[in-house]
Amino acid sequence: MLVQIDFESEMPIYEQLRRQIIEGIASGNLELGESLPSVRQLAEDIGINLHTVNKAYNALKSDGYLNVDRRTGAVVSGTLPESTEEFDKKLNEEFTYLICEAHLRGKKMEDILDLCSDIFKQYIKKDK
Amino acid sequence: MNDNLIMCISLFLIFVIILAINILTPKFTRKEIVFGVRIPEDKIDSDEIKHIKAQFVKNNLIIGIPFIILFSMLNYSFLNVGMILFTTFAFVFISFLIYLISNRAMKNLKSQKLWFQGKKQVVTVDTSFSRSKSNMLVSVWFFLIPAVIIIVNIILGYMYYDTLPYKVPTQWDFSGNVTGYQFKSRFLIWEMPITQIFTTFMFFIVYKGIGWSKQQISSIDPEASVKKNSIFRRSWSMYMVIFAVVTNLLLTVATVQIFRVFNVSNTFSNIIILAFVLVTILSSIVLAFKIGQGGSNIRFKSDGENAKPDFGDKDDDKYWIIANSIYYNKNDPSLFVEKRFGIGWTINAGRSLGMAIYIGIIVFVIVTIAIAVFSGK
Repeated sequence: MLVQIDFESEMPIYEQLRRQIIEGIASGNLELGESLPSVRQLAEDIGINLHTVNKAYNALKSDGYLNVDRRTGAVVSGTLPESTEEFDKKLNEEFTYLICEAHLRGKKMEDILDLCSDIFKQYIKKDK
Repeated sequence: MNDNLIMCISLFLIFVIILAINILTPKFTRKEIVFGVRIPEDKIDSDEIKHIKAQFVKNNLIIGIPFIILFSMLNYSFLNVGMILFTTFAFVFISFLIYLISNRAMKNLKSQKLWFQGKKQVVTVDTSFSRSKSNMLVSVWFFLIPAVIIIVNIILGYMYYDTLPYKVPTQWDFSGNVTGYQFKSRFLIWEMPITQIFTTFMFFIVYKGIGWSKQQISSIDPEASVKKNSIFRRSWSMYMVIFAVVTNLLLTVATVQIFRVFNVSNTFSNIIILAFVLVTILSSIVLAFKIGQGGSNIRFKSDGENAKPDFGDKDDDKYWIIANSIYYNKNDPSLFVEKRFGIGWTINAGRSLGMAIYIGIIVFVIVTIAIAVFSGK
Protein backbone atom coordinates (compact mmCIF):
# COMPACT_ATOMS: atom_id res chain seq x y z
CA MET A 1 0.00 0.00 0.00
CA LEU A 2 1.18 3.50 -0.80
CA VAL A 3 1.30 6.09 1.96
CA GLN A 4 1.68 9.77 1.03
CA ILE A 5 2.80 12.21 3.69
CA ASP A 6 2.47 15.94 3.12
CA PHE A 7 5.03 17.68 5.31
CA GLU A 8 3.53 21.13 4.68
CA SER A 9 0.00 20.14 5.68
CA GLU A 10 -1.75 21.47 8.76
CA MET A 11 -2.74 17.95 9.63
CA PRO A 12 -0.07 16.37 11.85
CA ILE A 13 1.92 13.54 10.28
CA TYR A 14 0.77 10.87 12.75
CA GLU A 15 -2.82 11.76 11.90
CA GLN A 16 -2.14 11.54 8.15
CA LEU A 17 -0.61 8.10 8.72
CA ARG A 18 -3.45 6.93 10.93
CA ARG A 19 -6.09 8.04 8.42
CA GLN A 20 -4.32 6.53 5.42
CA ILE A 21 -3.96 3.17 7.13
CA ILE A 22 -7.68 3.18 7.95
CA GLU A 23 -8.52 4.16 4.36
CA GLY A 24 -6.15 1.47 3.15
CA ILE A 25 -7.92 -1.22 5.19
CA ALA A 26 -11.32 0.03 4.03
CA SER A 27 -10.37 -0.02 0.36
CA GLY A 28 -8.72 -3.42 0.58
CA ASN A 29 -5.25 -2.11 -0.25
CA LEU A 30 -4.31 -3.38 3.18
CA GLU A 31 -5.75 -6.82 3.72
CA LEU A 32 -6.92 -8.10 7.07
CA GLY A 33 -4.02 -9.91 8.69
CA GLU A 34 -1.42 -8.21 6.46
CA SER A 35 1.84 -7.14 8.03
CA LEU A 36 2.85 -3.52 8.24
CA PRO A 37 6.46 -2.40 8.48
CA SER A 38 7.94 -2.06 11.94
CA VAL A 39 7.93 1.36 13.61
CA ARG A 40 11.62 1.81 12.84
CA GLN A 41 11.36 0.71 9.19
CA LEU A 42 8.43 3.01 8.45
CA ALA A 43 9.99 5.94 10.32
CA GLU A 44 13.23 5.55 8.37
CA ASP A 45 11.50 5.31 5.01
CA ILE A 46 9.32 8.37 5.58
CA GLY A 47 12.17 10.19 7.28
CA ILE A 48 10.39 11.06 10.53
CA ASN A 49 10.88 10.43 14.22
CA LEU A 50 10.01 6.97 15.56
CA HIS A 51 7.67 8.55 18.13
CA THR A 52 5.45 9.88 15.35
CA VAL A 53 4.96 6.44 13.81
CA ASN A 54 4.56 4.97 17.28
CA LYS A 55 1.78 7.43 18.04
CA ALA A 56 -0.09 6.48 14.87
CA TYR A 57 0.34 2.75 15.48
CA ASN A 58 -0.73 3.08 19.12
CA ALA A 59 -3.86 5.02 18.20
CA LEU A 60 -4.77 2.35 15.64
CA LYS A 61 -4.03 -0.38 18.17
CA SER A 62 -6.26 1.10 20.86
CA ASP A 63 -9.07 1.45 18.32
CA GLY A 64 -8.66 -2.20 17.40
CA TYR A 65 -7.38 -1.88 13.81
CA LEU A 66 -3.85 -3.11 14.45
CA ASN A 67 -2.27 -5.78 16.59
CA VAL A 68 1.24 -4.91 17.63
CA ASP A 69 3.31 -7.88 18.73
CA ARG A 70 6.94 -7.76 19.75
CA ARG A 71 7.83 -10.74 17.60
CA THR A 72 5.70 -10.35 14.50
CA GLY A 73 5.52 -6.55 14.51
CA ALA A 74 2.47 -4.60 13.41
CA VAL A 75 -0.30 -6.58 11.78
CA VAL A 76 -3.74 -5.49 10.57
CA SER A 77 -6.38 -7.11 12.79
CA GLY A 78 -8.08 -10.23 11.58
CA THR A 79 -11.42 -8.87 12.73
CA LEU A 80 -12.47 -5.28 12.55
CA PRO A 81 -13.69 -3.38 15.62
CA GLU A 82 -17.41 -3.03 16.17
CA SER A 83 -19.04 0.35 16.06
CA THR A 84 -19.02 1.84 19.55
CA GLU A 85 -21.09 4.55 21.12
CA GLU A 86 -18.00 6.70 21.21
CA PHE A 87 -17.45 6.23 17.47
CA ASP A 88 -21.11 6.98 16.70
CA LYS A 89 -20.82 10.18 18.63
CA LYS A 90 -17.64 11.16 16.75
CA LEU A 91 -19.28 10.34 13.40
CA ASN A 92 -22.28 12.48 14.31
CA GLU A 93 -20.11 15.41 15.37
CA GLU A 94 -17.87 15.30 12.29
CA PHE A 95 -20.80 15.06 9.90
CA THR A 96 -22.65 17.85 11.69
CA TYR A 97 -19.72 20.20 11.24
CA LEU A 98 -19.07 19.23 7.61
CA ILE A 99 -22.71 19.31 6.52
CA CYS A 100 -23.27 22.67 8.15
CA GLU A 101 -20.24 24.23 6.52
CA ALA A 102 -21.12 22.65 3.16
CA HIS A 103 -24.61 24.08 3.42
CA LEU A 104 -23.23 27.52 4.19
CA ARG A 105 -21.13 27.27 1.09
CA GLY A 106 -24.14 26.46 -1.05
CA LYS A 107 -24.11 22.67 -1.21
CA LYS A 108 -27.53 21.01 -1.44
CA MET A 109 -28.56 17.76 0.25
CA GLU A 110 -28.35 15.88 -3.08
CA ASP A 111 -24.80 17.14 -3.66
CA ILE A 112 -23.73 15.90 -0.27
CA LEU A 113 -25.46 12.52 -0.66
CA ASP A 114 -23.99 12.09 -4.16
CA LEU A 115 -20.55 12.90 -2.82
CA CYS A 116 -20.97 10.30 -0.07
CA SER A 117 -22.01 7.60 -2.46
CA ASP A 118 -19.21 8.43 -4.91
CA ILE A 119 -16.64 8.14 -2.16
CA PHE A 120 -18.18 4.88 -1.00
CA LYS A 121 -18.08 3.43 -4.51
CA GLN A 122 -14.51 4.62 -5.08
CA TYR A 123 -12.99 3.38 -1.85
CA ILE A 124 -15.14 0.60 -0.54
CA LYS A 125 -14.49 -2.11 -3.09
CA LYS A 126 -15.12 -5.09 -0.89
CA ASP A 127 -18.54 -6.01 0.39
CA LYS A 128 -18.87 -7.25 3.95
CA MET B 1 60.18 -1.08 -18.78
CA ASN B 2 61.29 1.13 -15.97
CA ASP B 3 59.18 0.43 -12.89
CA ASN B 4 58.81 4.13 -12.11
CA LEU B 5 57.54 4.82 -15.60
CA ILE B 6 54.91 2.12 -15.29
CA MET B 7 53.80 3.64 -11.99
CA CYS B 8 53.50 7.12 -13.52
CA ILE B 9 51.58 5.85 -16.54
CA SER B 10 49.20 3.98 -14.23
CA LEU B 11 48.58 7.11 -12.18
CA PHE B 12 47.99 9.12 -15.34
CA LEU B 13 45.46 6.58 -16.58
CA ILE B 14 43.72 6.60 -13.20
CA PHE B 15 43.30 10.38 -13.44
CA VAL B 16 41.92 10.05 -16.96
CA ILE B 17 39.43 7.38 -15.89
CA ILE B 18 38.27 9.48 -12.93
CA LEU B 19 37.75 12.46 -15.25
CA ALA B 20 35.76 10.30 -17.67
CA ILE B 21 33.56 8.99 -14.85
CA ASN B 22 32.95 12.54 -13.58
CA ILE B 23 31.84 13.65 -17.05
CA LEU B 24 29.50 10.65 -17.34
CA THR B 25 27.99 10.95 -13.86
CA PRO B 26 25.11 13.30 -14.76
CA LYS B 27 23.89 10.60 -17.15
CA PHE B 28 23.20 8.17 -14.36
CA THR B 29 21.92 10.31 -11.50
CA ARG B 30 18.20 10.45 -10.80
CA LYS B 31 16.67 12.67 -13.44
CA GLU B 32 14.97 15.01 -10.97
CA ILE B 33 18.24 15.74 -9.18
CA VAL B 34 20.64 17.83 -11.26
CA PHE B 35 24.10 18.52 -9.80
CA GLY B 36 22.72 17.88 -6.35
CA VAL B 37 19.69 20.15 -6.69
CA ARG B 38 16.14 18.78 -6.77
CA ILE B 39 13.93 20.09 -9.54
CA PRO B 40 10.32 19.22 -10.46
CA GLU B 41 10.07 16.32 -12.91
CA ASP B 42 8.33 18.33 -15.59
CA LYS B 43 11.16 20.87 -15.79
CA ILE B 44 13.94 18.35 -16.43
CA ASP B 45 14.26 19.12 -20.13
CA SER B 46 14.36 22.89 -19.85
CA ASP B 47 16.96 24.71 -21.91
CA GLU B 48 18.73 26.36 -19.00
CA ILE B 49 19.40 23.00 -17.42
CA LYS B 50 20.71 21.55 -20.67
CA HIS B 51 23.06 24.52 -20.88
CA ILE B 52 24.40 23.93 -17.37
CA LYS B 53 24.96 20.25 -18.18
CA ALA B 54 26.89 21.12 -21.33
CA GLN B 55 28.97 23.64 -19.39
CA PHE B 56 29.81 20.93 -16.85
CA VAL B 57 31.37 18.76 -19.56
CA LYS B 58 33.34 21.73 -20.90
CA ASN B 59 34.57 22.68 -17.42
CA ASN B 60 35.79 19.15 -16.80
CA LEU B 61 37.79 19.20 -20.01
CA ILE B 62 39.11 22.78 -19.73
CA ILE B 63 40.07 22.52 -16.06
CA GLY B 64 40.60 18.78 -15.66
CA ILE B 65 42.98 18.06 -18.54
CA PRO B 66 45.63 20.72 -17.69
CA PHE B 67 45.64 19.57 -14.07
CA ILE B 68 46.03 15.93 -15.10
CA ILE B 69 49.04 16.89 -17.20
CA LEU B 70 50.48 19.00 -14.37
CA PHE B 71 49.97 16.31 -11.73
CA SER B 72 51.38 13.58 -13.95
CA MET B 73 54.50 15.63 -14.56
CA LEU B 74 54.84 16.25 -10.82
CA ASN B 75 54.48 12.53 -10.16
CA TYR B 76 57.11 11.71 -12.74
CA SER B 77 59.59 14.26 -11.41
CA PHE B 78 59.15 13.55 -7.71
CA LEU B 79 58.03 9.96 -7.55
CA ASN B 80 57.43 9.45 -3.82
CA VAL B 81 54.51 8.66 -1.55
CA GLY B 82 54.09 12.30 -0.55
CA MET B 83 53.71 13.55 -4.12
CA ILE B 84 51.33 10.76 -5.10
CA LEU B 85 49.16 11.50 -2.07
CA PHE B 86 49.22 15.21 -2.83
CA THR B 87 48.28 14.86 -6.48
CA THR B 88 45.55 12.32 -5.70
CA PHE B 89 43.85 14.41 -3.04
CA ALA B 90 44.35 17.57 -5.09
CA PHE B 91 42.69 15.97 -8.10
CA VAL B 92 39.70 14.85 -6.04
CA PHE B 93 39.43 18.38 -4.71
CA ILE B 94 39.61 19.88 -8.21
CA SER B 95 36.85 17.48 -9.33
CA PHE B 96 34.73 18.71 -6.44
CA LEU B 97 35.34 22.35 -7.42
CA ILE B 98 34.23 21.62 -10.99
CA TYR B 99 31.03 20.04 -9.58
CA LEU B 100 30.61 23.05 -7.29
CA ILE B 101 30.47 25.44 -10.26
CA SER B 102 27.51 23.54 -11.73
CA ASN B 103 25.89 23.13 -8.31
CA ARG B 104 25.98 26.91 -7.79
CA ALA B 105 24.55 27.52 -11.25
CA MET B 106 21.66 25.12 -10.50
CA LYS B 107 20.96 26.73 -7.12
CA ASN B 108 20.79 30.18 -8.72
CA LEU B 109 18.49 28.90 -11.44
CA LYS B 110 16.18 27.25 -8.93
CA SER B 111 15.88 30.31 -6.70
CA GLN B 112 15.16 32.49 -9.73
CA LYS B 113 12.49 30.20 -11.10
CA LEU B 114 10.55 29.38 -7.91
CA TRP B 115 9.60 26.03 -9.41
CA PHE B 116 8.30 24.40 -6.26
CA GLN B 117 5.79 27.05 -5.38
CA GLY B 118 2.21 25.88 -5.46
CA LYS B 119 3.00 22.22 -5.99
CA LYS B 120 1.78 19.63 -3.52
CA GLN B 121 4.92 18.16 -1.98
CA VAL B 122 4.66 14.68 -0.59
CA VAL B 123 6.82 11.79 0.45
CA THR B 124 5.51 8.50 -0.92
CA VAL B 125 6.26 5.25 0.86
CA ASP B 126 5.22 1.73 -0.14
CA THR B 127 4.52 -0.27 3.03
CA SER B 128 5.27 -3.66 1.49
CA PHE B 129 8.58 -2.37 0.07
CA SER B 130 9.39 -1.10 3.55
CA ARG B 131 8.95 -4.55 5.00
CA SER B 132 10.74 -6.51 2.31
CA LYS B 133 13.88 -4.45 1.69
CA SER B 134 16.22 -7.24 2.70
CA ASN B 135 14.37 -9.65 0.41
CA MET B 136 15.33 -7.57 -2.58
CA LEU B 137 18.96 -8.54 -2.21
CA VAL B 138 20.37 -11.68 -3.78
CA SER B 139 20.59 -14.61 -1.41
CA VAL B 140 23.13 -14.17 1.38
CA TRP B 141 24.29 -17.75 0.77
CA PHE B 142 26.17 -16.51 -2.28
CA PHE B 143 28.78 -15.22 0.16
CA LEU B 144 29.73 -18.83 0.77
CA ILE B 145 31.66 -18.69 -2.50
CA PRO B 146 34.22 -16.10 -1.34
CA ALA B 147 34.32 -17.92 2.02
CA VAL B 148 35.30 -21.14 0.27
CA ILE B 149 38.02 -19.32 -1.66
CA ILE B 150 39.46 -18.04 1.63
CA ILE B 151 39.50 -21.56 3.04
CA VAL B 152 41.30 -22.79 -0.08
CA ASN B 153 43.95 -20.11 0.50
CA ILE B 154 44.47 -21.26 4.06
CA ILE B 155 44.74 -24.88 2.98
CA LEU B 156 47.24 -24.00 0.25
CA GLY B 157 49.31 -22.11 2.83
CA TYR B 158 49.48 -25.10 5.17
CA MET B 159 50.15 -27.54 2.34
CA TYR B 160 53.07 -25.67 0.84
CA TYR B 161 54.53 -24.11 3.99
CA ASP B 162 57.32 -26.64 4.37
CA THR B 163 58.63 -26.03 0.87
CA LEU B 164 59.38 -22.39 1.63
CA PRO B 165 62.93 -21.08 2.21
CA TYR B 166 63.83 -19.24 5.43
CA LYS B 167 63.61 -15.89 3.71
CA VAL B 168 60.37 -15.79 1.70
CA PRO B 169 59.98 -13.38 -1.23
CA THR B 170 56.65 -11.66 -0.75
CA GLN B 171 56.78 -8.59 -2.98
CA TRP B 172 57.67 -8.15 -6.61
CA ASP B 173 57.84 -5.15 -8.90
CA PHE B 174 56.29 -5.00 -12.37
CA SER B 175 59.34 -6.57 -13.99
CA GLY B 176 59.35 -9.57 -11.66
CA ASN B 177 62.28 -8.58 -9.44
CA VAL B 178 61.87 -9.38 -5.78
CA THR B 179 61.43 -6.21 -3.72
CA GLY B 180 60.36 -7.54 -0.33
CA TYR B 181 61.00 -10.52 1.93
CA GLN B 182 59.47 -11.94 5.08
CA PHE B 183 60.88 -14.46 7.48
CA LYS B 184 59.17 -17.82 7.41
CA SER B 185 56.57 -18.12 10.17
CA ARG B 186 53.14 -19.70 10.64
CA PHE B 187 51.64 -16.23 10.55
CA LEU B 188 52.59 -15.94 6.89
CA ILE B 189 49.92 -18.53 6.08
CA TRP B 190 47.30 -16.22 7.52
CA GLU B 191 48.34 -12.90 6.01
CA MET B 192 46.55 -13.20 2.68
CA PRO B 193 43.47 -14.91 4.19
CA ILE B 194 43.16 -12.13 6.78
CA THR B 195 43.23 -9.55 3.99
CA GLN B 196 40.61 -11.58 2.13
CA ILE B 197 38.42 -11.87 5.22
CA PHE B 198 38.64 -8.12 5.75
CA THR B 199 37.75 -7.23 2.15
CA THR B 200 34.97 -9.83 1.97
CA PHE B 201 33.58 -8.41 5.18
CA MET B 202 33.59 -4.90 3.69
CA PHE B 203 31.66 -6.09 0.62
CA PHE B 204 29.26 -7.90 2.93
CA ILE B 205 28.62 -4.72 4.92
CA VAL B 206 27.89 -2.80 1.72
CA TYR B 207 25.57 -5.64 0.67
CA LYS B 208 23.69 -5.38 3.98
CA GLY B 209 23.72 -1.59 3.74
CA ILE B 210 21.87 -1.78 0.43
CA GLY B 211 19.12 -3.63 2.24
CA TRP B 212 18.98 -1.15 5.10
CA SER B 213 18.94 2.00 3.01
CA LYS B 214 16.00 4.35 2.97
CA GLN B 215 13.23 3.80 0.47
CA GLN B 216 13.11 6.70 -1.97
CA ILE B 217 10.34 6.50 -4.51
CA SER B 218 9.00 9.09 -6.88
CA SER B 219 5.58 10.48 -6.01
CA ILE B 220 4.66 10.99 -9.64
CA ASP B 221 4.69 7.29 -10.63
CA PRO B 222 5.12 5.30 -7.41
CA GLU B 223 4.42 1.79 -8.75
CA ALA B 224 7.03 2.04 -11.50
CA SER B 225 9.46 3.68 -9.09
CA VAL B 226 9.15 0.74 -6.66
CA LYS B 227 9.91 -1.81 -9.40
CA LYS B 228 12.89 0.14 -10.71
CA ASN B 229 14.26 0.60 -7.21
CA SER B 230 14.03 -3.15 -6.53
CA ILE B 231 16.01 -3.90 -9.67
CA PHE B 232 18.60 -1.31 -8.63
CA ARG B 233 19.09 -2.84 -5.18
CA ARG B 234 19.13 -6.39 -6.44
CA SER B 235 21.67 -5.70 -9.19
CA TRP B 236 24.16 -3.91 -6.97
CA SER B 237 23.82 -6.53 -4.23
CA MET B 238 24.73 -9.18 -6.83
CA TYR B 239 27.63 -7.02 -7.95
CA MET B 240 28.94 -6.96 -4.37
CA VAL B 241 29.01 -10.76 -4.32
CA ILE B 242 30.78 -10.90 -7.68
CA PHE B 243 33.26 -8.25 -6.60
CA ALA B 244 34.03 -10.18 -3.40
CA VAL B 245 34.63 -13.37 -5.38
CA VAL B 246 36.84 -11.68 -7.98
CA THR B 247 38.90 -9.82 -5.34
CA ASN B 248 39.47 -13.03 -3.39
CA LEU B 249 40.53 -14.81 -6.60
CA LEU B 250 43.01 -12.02 -7.32
CA LEU B 251 44.48 -12.32 -3.84
CA THR B 252 44.64 -16.08 -4.33
CA VAL B 253 47.07 -15.44 -7.19
CA ALA B 254 49.28 -13.70 -4.60
CA THR B 255 49.04 -16.72 -2.29
CA VAL B 256 49.99 -19.00 -5.18
CA GLN B 257 53.03 -16.81 -5.90
CA ILE B 258 54.22 -16.56 -2.29
CA PHE B 259 53.77 -20.25 -1.52
CA ARG B 260 55.04 -21.35 -4.95
CA VAL B 261 52.04 -23.62 -5.47
CA PHE B 262 52.90 -23.51 -9.13
CA ASN B 263 55.08 -21.19 -11.12
CA VAL B 264 53.22 -18.02 -11.98
CA SER B 265 54.98 -16.06 -14.67
CA ASN B 266 55.40 -12.38 -14.09
CA THR B 267 53.60 -11.51 -17.31
CA PHE B 268 50.65 -13.65 -16.27
CA SER B 269 50.20 -11.93 -12.92
CA ASN B 270 50.56 -8.46 -14.46
CA ILE B 271 47.92 -9.33 -17.04
CA ILE B 272 45.60 -10.70 -14.37
CA ILE B 273 45.90 -7.55 -12.27
CA LEU B 274 45.35 -5.30 -15.29
CA ALA B 275 42.38 -7.37 -16.45
CA PHE B 276 40.86 -7.22 -12.97
CA VAL B 277 41.14 -3.45 -12.82
CA LEU B 278 39.77 -2.86 -16.33
CA VAL B 279 36.88 -5.30 -16.01
CA THR B 280 35.89 -3.86 -12.63
CA ILE B 281 35.88 -0.28 -13.85
CA LEU B 282 34.14 -0.99 -17.16
CA SER B 283 31.51 -3.28 -15.67
CA SER B 284 30.57 -0.82 -12.95
CA ILE B 285 30.26 2.01 -15.49
CA VAL B 286 28.09 -0.14 -17.75
CA LEU B 287 25.90 -1.25 -14.85
CA ALA B 288 25.61 2.35 -13.65
CA PHE B 289 24.48 3.43 -17.11
CA LYS B 290 21.95 0.69 -17.69
CA ILE B 291 20.28 0.99 -14.32
CA GLY B 292 20.92 4.56 -13.18
CA GLN B 293 20.76 5.77 -9.61
CA GLY B 294 17.69 4.31 -7.93
CA GLY B 295 16.77 2.58 -11.17
CA SER B 296 16.08 5.86 -12.98
CA ASN B 297 17.61 4.76 -16.31
CA ILE B 298 15.42 1.67 -16.56
CA ARG B 299 12.66 2.06 -19.13
CA PHE B 300 9.38 0.23 -18.83
CA LYS B 301 6.90 0.10 -21.69
CA SER B 302 4.23 1.31 -19.31
CA ASP B 303 6.17 4.41 -18.24
CA GLY B 304 4.04 7.51 -17.94
CA GLU B 305 0.70 5.66 -17.96
CA ASN B 306 0.03 6.05 -14.26
CA ALA B 307 1.76 9.38 -13.84
CA LYS B 308 0.24 11.89 -11.45
CA PRO B 309 1.76 15.16 -12.58
CA ASP B 310 0.29 17.38 -9.88
CA PHE B 311 2.27 15.56 -7.23
CA GLY B 312 5.89 16.37 -6.64
CA ASP B 313 8.47 14.99 -4.31
CA LYS B 314 9.20 16.94 -1.17
CA ASP B 315 11.92 19.51 -1.74
CA ASP B 316 14.60 18.27 0.63
CA ASP B 317 17.53 20.37 -0.63
CA LYS B 318 17.93 21.94 2.79
CA TYR B 319 19.13 18.66 4.31
CA TRP B 320 22.01 18.38 1.83
CA ILE B 321 24.94 20.51 2.99
CA ILE B 322 28.29 21.43 1.42
CA ALA B 323 27.14 21.90 -2.15
CA ASN B 324 24.40 19.30 -1.66
CA SER B 325 26.92 16.52 -1.22
CA ILE B 326 26.44 15.47 2.41
CA TYR B 327 23.08 14.48 3.92
CA TYR B 328 22.46 15.99 7.35
CA ASN B 329 19.02 15.43 8.84
CA LYS B 330 18.67 14.94 12.58
CA ASN B 331 14.97 14.13 12.28
CA ASP B 332 15.56 11.26 9.89
CA PRO B 333 16.35 7.99 11.67
CA SER B 334 17.73 6.34 8.53
CA LEU B 335 21.49 5.77 8.28
CA PHE B 336 21.97 5.13 4.56
CA VAL B 337 20.32 7.29 1.92
CA GLU B 338 20.88 7.48 -1.82
CA LYS B 339 23.65 9.78 -2.99
CA ARG B 340 22.61 12.81 -4.98
CA PHE B 341 25.53 12.96 -7.41
CA GLY B 342 26.78 9.52 -8.33
CA ILE B 343 25.75 5.92 -7.89
CA GLY B 344 25.24 4.40 -4.50
CA TRP B 345 24.49 5.45 -1.02
CA THR B 346 25.82 7.91 1.52
CA ILE B 347 25.52 8.26 5.27
CA ASN B 348 23.20 10.54 7.23
CA ALA B 349 25.58 12.78 9.19
CA GLY B 350 22.64 13.95 11.31
CA ARG B 351 22.57 10.63 13.09
CA SER B 352 25.27 10.35 15.73
CA LEU B 353 26.26 6.91 14.42
CA GLY B 354 26.54 8.44 10.95
CA MET B 355 28.76 11.27 12.15
CA ALA B 356 30.87 8.73 14.05
CA ILE B 357 31.37 6.73 10.86
CA TYR B 358 32.45 9.81 8.91
CA ILE B 359 34.93 10.78 11.61
CA GLY B 360 36.12 7.18 11.91
CA ILE B 361 36.86 7.01 8.20
CA ILE B 362 38.82 10.27 8.28
CA VAL B 363 40.83 9.09 11.30
CA PHE B 364 41.48 5.74 9.60
CA VAL B 365 42.80 7.46 6.47
CA ILE B 366 45.05 9.82 8.43
CA VAL B 367 46.45 7.00 10.58
CA THR B 368 47.07 4.79 7.52
CA ILE B 369 48.92 7.58 5.73
CA ALA B 370 50.95 8.37 8.85
CA ILE B 371 51.96 4.72 9.23
CA ALA B 372 52.91 4.49 5.56
CA VAL B 373 54.98 7.67 5.70
CA PHE B 374 56.76 6.81 8.95
CA SER B 375 57.52 3.19 8.10
CA GLY B 376 58.90 4.34 4.75
CA LYS B 377 61.56 6.44 6.50
